[in-house]
Amino acid sequence: MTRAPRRPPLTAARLALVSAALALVAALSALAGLLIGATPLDLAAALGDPASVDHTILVDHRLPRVLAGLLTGAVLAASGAALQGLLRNPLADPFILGVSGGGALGAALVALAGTALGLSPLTTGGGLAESAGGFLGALLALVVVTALATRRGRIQPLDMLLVGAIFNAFAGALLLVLQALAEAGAVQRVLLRLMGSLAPDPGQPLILPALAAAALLAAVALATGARPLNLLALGDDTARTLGVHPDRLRLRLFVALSLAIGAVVAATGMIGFVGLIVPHGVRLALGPDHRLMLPASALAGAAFVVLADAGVRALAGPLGTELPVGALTATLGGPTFLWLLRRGQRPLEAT
Amino acid sequence: MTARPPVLAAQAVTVRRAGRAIVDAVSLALPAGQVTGLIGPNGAGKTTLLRVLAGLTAPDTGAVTLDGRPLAAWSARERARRLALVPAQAEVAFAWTALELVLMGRAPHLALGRLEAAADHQAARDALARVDALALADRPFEALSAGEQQRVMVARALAQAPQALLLDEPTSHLDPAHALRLSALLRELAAQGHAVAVVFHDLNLAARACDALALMVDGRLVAAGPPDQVLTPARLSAAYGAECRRVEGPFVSILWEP
Repeated sequence: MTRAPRRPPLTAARLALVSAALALVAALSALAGLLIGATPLDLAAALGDPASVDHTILVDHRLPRVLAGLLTGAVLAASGAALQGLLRNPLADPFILGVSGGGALGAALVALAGTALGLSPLTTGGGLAESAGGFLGALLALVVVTALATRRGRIQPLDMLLVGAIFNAFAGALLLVLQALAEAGAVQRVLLRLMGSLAPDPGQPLILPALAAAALLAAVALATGARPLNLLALGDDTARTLGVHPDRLRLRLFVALSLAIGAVVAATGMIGFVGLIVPHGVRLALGPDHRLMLPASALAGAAFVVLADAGVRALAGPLGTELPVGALTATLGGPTFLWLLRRGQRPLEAT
Repeated sequence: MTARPPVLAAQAVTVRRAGRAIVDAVSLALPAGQVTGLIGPNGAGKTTLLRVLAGLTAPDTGAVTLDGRPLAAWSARERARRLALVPAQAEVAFAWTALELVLMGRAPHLALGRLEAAADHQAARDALARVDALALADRPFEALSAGEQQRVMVARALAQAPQALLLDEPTSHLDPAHALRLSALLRELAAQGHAVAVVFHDLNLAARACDALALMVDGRLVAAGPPDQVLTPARLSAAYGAECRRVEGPFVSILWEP
C-alpha cells in the first residue's frame, strides 16, 4: 500500500531549514534582479568606479528596484496568506479584496491634495504622506468590504470576493480618470506608479523606508498572530473555546496588514495576485500551518516579485517596451484564481 | 447524585431570541465525576444551553460559573484549559491532517511563541487512540468520513485536557460500535474526575452513557435526575409528542410506537 509522504511535524529545526532555504532563493533572485536588465552590466566597472554609467544603473536604478520588489513581494504574499486564514477563504488576496485599490486611491488623493495645495512631493514628506494615504485607503477598503459582505453576523466569502472585485475595478477606473486629468509632472508620475511599477521615484526618497518600517510592523503582528490564525481554521466558535478572540485578532491583523499593504501600494502600486499565487504554492508544499506558511510565503513572495520584475526587464529587449510587472503577475494570477475556484475545496462556505 | 461542588453550573439562565426565550430560566450543575445528558426534542434549546455553558453565548439573564467563578471573569486562555466544547458540526478550512487538528487542542497550554513539544505530540496521539482514530493521524481531515471527522474532533477536545467537557451530539455520525465506545469513554473520563455534558438524541445511548439526564422542552428544563427516573413513557410522550414504551434491563430502553 502506498501512502502520501507524511508531513513532518513543525519543529524549530524545520522552521529554520525552510526559512534558510527560501531566504537563499530570495537572495539569488535579488542577485539575478541586479544583473538582469535591458542594458548588459559591467560588474567590475559598476563596483569599482562610482563615476561609471554601470555604477549608476546598478546602485540608482536596479538596487532600489530590487529592494522594492523584495518588500512588495514579501508583504503581498504574507498578507494574502494571512487574509486567507483570517477570512477562511483560499481566494482572498489584497488585490482581489479591493485592499490594494483602496490603498491606491488613498495615496492618489493625498498626492493630488498635496499638488492642489501647491506642495511638491518632497515637501509632503518624500512619499510619507502618500504611504499614510495608502494605509487609510487600504484599511477603509478592508473594513467597508468586510462590512458589506457580512450578513447575520457572518462574513459571506463569495460576497466578499464580489464586493472586493467590484471595488477594485471601481478604484482602478477612478485612478485612470485622476491620472488622465492630472497635470503632467510629479503628481502624474505618482499616479502612473500607482498602477503598478517597481521603478524608483527620486522625488519620493522616503517611500521605501516607510515600506520597510510598515513591513516590519506587519511581520511582528503576524508572528504573534500565526498560532491564533491556525485555530481559526476550526471556526470562530471553536477558536474561542481554545482561547482566541477572533474579532480582536481580525481587527489587529486588519490594521497591521492595511498598514503594510497601503505602504506597498504607495511605493509600487497595484500589483495583483501575488498574495494568491504564492501562498497557495507554499500551502501545497508545506501545509497550512501559518507559523511556517507566513514566513515561507513572505520569502517566496519576495523572490517571486523580483524574478517577475527581472523577467519583464529581460523581455524589454525583444519586445521593445517594458511591460508593467503587474501585467505579468496578473497573467499568472487570473488562471490560478479560476483553477482554485473550480477545485472542489468548498472554498466559499460562510465562516 | 453526588454532593461534590459543580465544576460548571448554570443558574437561572435565560436566552431570548426575537422575543422568545429559547433557554428559559434553566439551572443545571455539572459536578465532577458525572456524565450529564441533555435530551429533548429538536429546538428545545439543548445546543444553546451548551453554548451558554461554554461561554459562547452570553445569557440575557442568569449566570454561569466555572469552579465557582463567573465564566466571564476567566481569561479566554485560562478558560480554554478548563473547559472544552465539541460542536455538532465540524468546519475545517484548509488541508489540515487529523493529527495537526488534534494538536490544536494543545494551544491553550503552550506558552506564547512556543511550538508543540514531544509531550504535546504524545498527548495528541493518546487522544486519537482513545477515540480509535490513531490510524487516521496523517490523513487530511477533509478526506475523512463524517463519523471519522467526529471522532477526530472529540480527540481535539480531549487533547485540550479540560476539567469540563461539553459535547453536542458527538455520536450523530458514529456507527453503533463507535457510539458505544464513545459512551464508555465519557464514563471513563467522568471516573477520572471530569465533568461531562452531552447532547444526545438517542435516548437509549443516553441512558447507557449518562449518570444524570436533563430533559428540555421549549427552552425549559422539565426533568432532571438519574436516567431511570427521567425516562418515563408519560414524560417522554408529552415532551416529544409521540407514544413510547419502556423496556427494563441493565439500562433503560425506550421503544417508540409507530
